[in-house]
Amino acid sequence: MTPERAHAWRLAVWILIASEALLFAGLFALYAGYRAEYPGAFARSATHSVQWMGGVNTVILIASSFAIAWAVLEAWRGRERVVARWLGGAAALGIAFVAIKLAEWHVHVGEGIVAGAGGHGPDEGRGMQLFFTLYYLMTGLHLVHLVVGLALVAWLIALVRGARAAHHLVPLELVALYWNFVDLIWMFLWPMFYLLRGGA
Amino acid sequence: MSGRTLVLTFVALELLAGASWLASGTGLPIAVAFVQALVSATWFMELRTAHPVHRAIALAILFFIALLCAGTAADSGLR
Repeated sequence: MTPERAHAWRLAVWILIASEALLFAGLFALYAGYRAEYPGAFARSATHSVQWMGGVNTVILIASSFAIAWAVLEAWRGRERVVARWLGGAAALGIAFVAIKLAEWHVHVGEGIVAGAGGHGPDEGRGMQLFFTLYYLMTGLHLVHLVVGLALVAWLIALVRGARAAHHLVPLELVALYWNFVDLIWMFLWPMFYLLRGGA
Repeated sequence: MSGRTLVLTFVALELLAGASWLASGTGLPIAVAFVQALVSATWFMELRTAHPVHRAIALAILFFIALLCAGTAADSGLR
């Protein structure tokens, strides 16, 4: 890939990240607005979140970011076999995150906590409905981004196995950038839906 | 980017996540999230050594998010 083409790709991915960041920022602003309106219900709703599952997922996602960053480093060093292994590690951690997230939703649905009105879970009125609607919407949107990231990592593994990793350094860097951005979004979702239990 | 920097970034992010968990129930975890985002963007996303245009895009993102937050806060505060 020519340097000009690589620069154009990097710019395109940064613009994509900017648009994704603004999409999530709109939802963060919505959350903040409703939290200001229903502080007690939001704080109590967070106590229904499965905190240990969110915590384990946070640790997992940070580890996956490290794995993918290390894969880029190994590509710079020209160690093709090691690159595929680190990418595989990042993908395995991403799959673990998805599995835990789905299990967590399963727990919530079992308790009757669903998005929007009509749930039969703990009744905190409109505040709780809004909290869990945003919870499903934002964690769901984040999960979709993570699944896209997993598909990209799988594509990269196939690419790197077929040729020298150094030849695919730019796609590797760009997927790593996207993956780290998805991790960064989770760093805010984790406190918003699991840890902010005060302020009632 | 050196291996040592990546390991240090990883350890810092995990420690901050732990601190956030311990501070559950207070407003501190949101402040910790901003620090984590800064650390991750600087080293994992390599903004520290990125092209100036990419850094400008990152700054534009921050500016628009700040604008959105200020608008939301003003709306909530003035009701």
